[in-house]
Amino acid sequence: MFAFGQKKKDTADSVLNDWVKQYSRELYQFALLRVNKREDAEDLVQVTFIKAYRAYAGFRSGSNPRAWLYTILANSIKDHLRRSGMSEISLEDESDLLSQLPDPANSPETALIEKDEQERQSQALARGIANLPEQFAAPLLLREVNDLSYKEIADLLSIPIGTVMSRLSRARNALFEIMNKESSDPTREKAGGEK
Amino acid sequence: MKNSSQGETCRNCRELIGAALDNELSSGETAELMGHLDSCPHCREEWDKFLAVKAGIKNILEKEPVPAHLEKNLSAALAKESGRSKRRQSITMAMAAILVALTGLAFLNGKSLTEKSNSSKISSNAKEQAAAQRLAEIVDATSHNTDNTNCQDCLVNFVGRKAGDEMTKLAGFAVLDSKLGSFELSGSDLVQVKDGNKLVRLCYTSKTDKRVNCIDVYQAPSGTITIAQATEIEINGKKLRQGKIGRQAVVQYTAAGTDLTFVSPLSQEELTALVKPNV
Repeated sequence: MFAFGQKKKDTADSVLNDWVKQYSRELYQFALLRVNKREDAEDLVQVTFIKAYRAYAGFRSGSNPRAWLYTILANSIKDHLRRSGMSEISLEDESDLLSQLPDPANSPETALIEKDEQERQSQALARGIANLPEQFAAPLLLREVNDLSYKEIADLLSIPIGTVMSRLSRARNALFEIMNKESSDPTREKAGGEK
Repeated sequence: MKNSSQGETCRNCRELIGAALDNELSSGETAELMGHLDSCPHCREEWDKFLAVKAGIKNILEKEPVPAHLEKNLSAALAKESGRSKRRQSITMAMAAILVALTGLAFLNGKSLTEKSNSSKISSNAKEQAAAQRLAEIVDATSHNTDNTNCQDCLVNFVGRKAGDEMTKLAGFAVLDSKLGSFELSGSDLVQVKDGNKLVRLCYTSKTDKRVNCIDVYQAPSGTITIAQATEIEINGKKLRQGKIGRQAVVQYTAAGTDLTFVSPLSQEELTALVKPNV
């Protein structure tokens, strides 16, 4: 009698499970680099798939599931960061990106353990990415983690390709400065050793 | 010191370095860029910087492998959600069947003369109930001050800060970015509901009031969302509806055909005082 509704649910079950196989790894890596904590990253990916399951009837066939899942994940991360007390930086204020990022020395500990200079740089980079404002982090991670083209990133974020390029460039410059500061600061090694 | 033409070449080159590393340039463009990098240590330095960041990110991802149990846990969570969803569906179907049976009985009992007025009352009540349910679910899923993610029907699409006119175009109804005391507009999202309705969620934050991280203002065409068991007060000849969703105070009024619904952990009085000047 209610075969139609049931069929739709069965389809959602099978499609979502396929998507788990195809996209869960890259979504996890995206989330991990934003929240810098394994448990939180796993929770966020789970929330993403549950939300996608519940909203599956609204997903238009032929649309890009990867982009759809990313949108859900990005919103979940945004809410998570807000709830964790991280303030959102205004979209209009793109000036002086580096000065908006916290000093790595004052940031909380992350899941990555630092041992030598390369690892300290790696940890500083991880913290830098986690603290990047959303409008810079999204294109950077979509490129580096999800391997999307500039066109795909532009479409997904509804911004021109030129803006994708400039945000990537600004994000990379800011992150390099953070890595560089870490390796050139003579007090850093000692501080790292005390942890 | 570089001459102006060399300076221009360097500027052009630096704009393309990221794109080259991301394989976004044609082979001809890449070859031209590499030729310049061979002869320009300043641009080569820029190339090395970007390369270091790319390598650094790759390094982090390699050191932090994806947990082996991730897929298994996700599949289990989906199976659990599927079971819940099927139970909900059965209950809804059962209730619908009961409603159909009751309506049939009422007809057989000779109440067909009053059918028209009753059904319009029922349909108006049902519409209000649906609008109240819609608001409660959307607030539950999207409010910045709620931890739940129980919205079964909505998907939130982040749009970012847009001026009123641009958001109005996206939403398809008049979006009003009114003032809210010392709270300032800090973000806006387009909320797309599975039933076809679109809403806008604005977030207002205050640098001085630390008790709340956001006052959410949900906007939708009049009648789309409403407060369950609302009380009404009159301000400047206009109605202001008040109520609660969970622990949060809710205040709603209508302007220019749009319902503005304010949701906040502030007290009812404080929230009303903030909203009042706009009514």
